[in-house]
Amino acid sequence: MPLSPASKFTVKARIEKKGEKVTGKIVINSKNYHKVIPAVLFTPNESQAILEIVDQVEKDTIANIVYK
Amino acid sequence: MTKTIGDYIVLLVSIIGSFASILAFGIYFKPLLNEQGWVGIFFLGMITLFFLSYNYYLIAKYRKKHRYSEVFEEINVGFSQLHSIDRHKAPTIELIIQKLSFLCDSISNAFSKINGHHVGICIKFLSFENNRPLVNTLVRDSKSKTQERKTGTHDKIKHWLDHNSDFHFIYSNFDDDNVDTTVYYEGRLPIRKDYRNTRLKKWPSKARVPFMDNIIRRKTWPLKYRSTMVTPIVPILADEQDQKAIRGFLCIDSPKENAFCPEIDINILY
Repeated sequence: MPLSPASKFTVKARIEKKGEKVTGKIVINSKNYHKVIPAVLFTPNESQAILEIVDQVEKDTIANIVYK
Repeated sequence: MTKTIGDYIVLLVSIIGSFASILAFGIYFKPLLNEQGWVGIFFLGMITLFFLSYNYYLIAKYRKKHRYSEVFEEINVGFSQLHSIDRHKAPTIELIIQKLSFLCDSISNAFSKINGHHVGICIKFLSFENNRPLVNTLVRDSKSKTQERKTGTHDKIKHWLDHNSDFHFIYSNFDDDNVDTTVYYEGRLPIRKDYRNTRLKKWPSKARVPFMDNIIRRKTWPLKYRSTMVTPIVPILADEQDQKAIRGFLCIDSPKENAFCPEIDINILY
């Protein structure tokens, strides 16, 4: 599959808040190129919290604990 | 290609038959042959080798396709885990993560059955740090975890979205109707010169050797997979959801080259 060189692009994450609604976007820019892709982006704190829960779930799964 | 007992029996009979033929040829036919006879034998030998190779190719191709019909049970078990989340009135995040982990196990079992070797599955989610998008591993199949492939806080590497070719390919072509971004597939990662991965920081370290470059790259390839298929997690039908929003990525990888048939495999995952 053809790949465009990464050095051409700048990729940024953008979070927008409209009232209670929070939307995430990935913004890609390069010469003659601009694209905004909506994405479900977790904040660093949320991400860290999820990863810690993942650790706990891993331990529980190894211990044969199945959530119901 | 998965080997069966029948394959080994055929192989054994073939070896015995070949040795018997060579012995019989040397003892009984060789003294009777002239030059024309030798040309004939050579010609027949070439045709035999061609048909043997073609036969092997057909068996490998169609045996794999036949196995696609055997994976529905595994896939159904996997998706029943997801459906069980829907039945909860208030599912906890722990429950969702565990069910997704079981889904990965089922998909891994299905693809391992098709390919005859272990195929790793993982689900990634998106976050950001200093306005740079990051990809984190949410869940993996159980067997991958025993092969030192990390999840959760144990994975210390920052997987920047723009430093990974597979994710980069999908988002950089996301709205392009001429490019199929339902899947990124690369069947020969070790020799893909422009492949970028955040786990490949110090590779290749040595200078390029003419004519030997691909061999050296294959020998020294540090990742645990050599083929990969990545698909964005986007709802096909979404009434009130933002249909185009990427939820994350589903990654499938194999330790062997050219392991997947993306045109078939991607349909299993929809």
